[in-house]
Amino acid sequence: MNRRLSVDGVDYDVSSAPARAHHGDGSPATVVTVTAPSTGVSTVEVRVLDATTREITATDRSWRRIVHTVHDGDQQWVFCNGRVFEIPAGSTVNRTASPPTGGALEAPMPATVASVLVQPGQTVRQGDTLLVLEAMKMELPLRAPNDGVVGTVRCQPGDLVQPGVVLVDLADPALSGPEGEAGLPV
Amino acid sequence: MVTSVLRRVLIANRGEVALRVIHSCHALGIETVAVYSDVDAHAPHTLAADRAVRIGPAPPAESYLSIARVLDAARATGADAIHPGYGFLSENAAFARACADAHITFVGPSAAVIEQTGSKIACRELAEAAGIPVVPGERPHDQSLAGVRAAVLRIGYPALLKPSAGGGGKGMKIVSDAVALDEAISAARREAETAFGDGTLYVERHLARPRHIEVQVVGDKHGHLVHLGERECSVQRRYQKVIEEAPAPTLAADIREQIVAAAVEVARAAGYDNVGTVEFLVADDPDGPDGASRYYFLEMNTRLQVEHPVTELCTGIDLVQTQLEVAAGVPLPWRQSDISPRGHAIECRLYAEDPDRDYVPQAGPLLLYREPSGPGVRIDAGVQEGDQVTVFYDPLLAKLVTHAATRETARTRAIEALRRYAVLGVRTNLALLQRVLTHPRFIAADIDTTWLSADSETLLATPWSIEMASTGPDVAATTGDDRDLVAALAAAGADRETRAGPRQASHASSSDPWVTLKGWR
Repeated sequence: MNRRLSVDGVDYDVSSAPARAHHGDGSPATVVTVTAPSTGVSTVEVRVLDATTREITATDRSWRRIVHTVHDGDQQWVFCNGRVFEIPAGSTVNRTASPPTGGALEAPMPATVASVLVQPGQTVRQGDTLLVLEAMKMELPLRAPNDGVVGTVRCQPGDLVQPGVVLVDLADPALSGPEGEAGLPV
Repeated sequence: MVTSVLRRVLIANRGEVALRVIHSCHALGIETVAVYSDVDAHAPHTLAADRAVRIGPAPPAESYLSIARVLDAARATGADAIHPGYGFLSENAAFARACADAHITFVGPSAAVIEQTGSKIACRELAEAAGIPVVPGERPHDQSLAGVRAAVLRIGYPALLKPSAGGGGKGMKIVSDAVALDEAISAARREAETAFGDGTLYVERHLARPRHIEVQVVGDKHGHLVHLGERECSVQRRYQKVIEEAPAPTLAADIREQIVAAAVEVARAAGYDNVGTVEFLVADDPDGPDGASRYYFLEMNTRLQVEHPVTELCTGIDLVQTQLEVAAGVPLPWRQSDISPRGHAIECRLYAEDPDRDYVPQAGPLLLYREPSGPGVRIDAGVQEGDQVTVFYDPLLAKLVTHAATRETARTRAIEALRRYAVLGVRTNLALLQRVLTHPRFIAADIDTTWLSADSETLLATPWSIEMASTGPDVAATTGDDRDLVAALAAAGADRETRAGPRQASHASSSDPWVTLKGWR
């Protein structure tokens, strides 16, 4: 089965064959080929040691890793050698994509809205603080990812907000301008 | 013996420090009472104590910060002492006084001492009177926006705004120019009110590239006072410590002698008893010869510190046991000459936070949590696998502390342990800790309190070198880093193969198809 998996915005081709016994030791392994920009093609065997532990061995036996992994909805977390990988199910999702021009500002975590510093229609510059969240006794300023015009403000001070909830709509002035002048995205 | 004096101790805290105190109590044969909020009903500290009392809902103000509820719990369980841990009520003089009024021993200094040393202004005056240099600063009498603004102009830029009642770096704001001043004052005041219930601000001159050096002191109720050496806590982000070590790696011997003497002097002037920490900043001396440095008294913390384990590992002294004994009136068993720190210790704070996103605290389930162990490795944790990390409390999950004969071995032990510290389900600063420990500037101990913020872009953006990664003969083809990535991707790819499709979402639970494979091999 071929998959494209994404880590930190970089796509990797991963193809795997069904589990089968290898090398006469009786433990079945899935043979996986990983094609990565940095490493080229690597072929490894994956063995399941328990529900959350896998043994990864290069087919030429030159190296080995023990990894821990858990599933969390559509996402898979993998721990290997001090590093944590969050691998989304789809090929287009990634966690460090550059913010889109215009769009919506979301709560990054469960938090309380401490203050809202902008009003609908207000023009803001990239980096301007739009509102301040508070969680774990710390304040977190939410800043404009780009220049734009504030659309709807969807929260008020005191609201408890959940991750992914849109707090402020932010429109790119180039996209929201009057029709006919600079109305087309560049 | 302590046990004849303290019989049952209530721990007015949660998380790793509550567990830390419970362990020392049990080692001394003292019964423990935990208090917990609704979300902590099955938390490790709640389960570890001999008894546990619910004290309210999750928000701290209605539970761990409620003096009345904590005291009710102490009376209801017949506790004869309360250990406040750190944070929450630990530096609250009113709480210490309420304990005394209720004839319950407060494990810490007296309310009067907390009032004097806990107040930055009173403690500064104390230090100045003792002839100890202080950082220029003031608490404006006029606390209005205009009043604080005027104070900043008197002190000069860059200035630091701090909650007068605070500690732990919460609510601190640095202002470099007039443009951001008003917003910074408002933000600092809001945070001070939220964290400490007191919006009073303190304005201080911000020193360039200072190093944070602090001295552990301990005194008994019989006027005997010693110091247990210094700690360096210069690796900080947002004024919160990330990595601490003992001893301070590059402190000149003469400055060190002056600092520890000054710390004991401050504690003596305050009539201090129990454990406390005197904090200093060490910065280049603008008037002195090249390489000369000066120290400035910063503040005194009248409680156990988060980073106390590095001192414990170097001195062999259990500071919580010492706190309990001193509180019970037992004289300190040592003279200063008995204290001889050995080796070097490094503490790494494991936070549930996302260093790539401005260190935003993270909440969620700890789907997998595996601690490393080994020679010279100590872990003080407040969580276990399956716990929910919530937004209500400090994001500190655990502390990894390593000890060795040399700083270099303590450092490599920490890296090796972090490589085996598996935490999944919540983002943590695990990778950042490894990047810091392997950074040339940390290795050279060329660090100051601004370093982590100033260098954060390179620290976060570039792949760090895993210097101890096992390398095979084909190292040129596949580096250690890349193997980790390949292994992780292969594990994910193999799981998907078995799951017959990437969209088949499943939690790591009994419905996980892999569970049926348990026990193979």
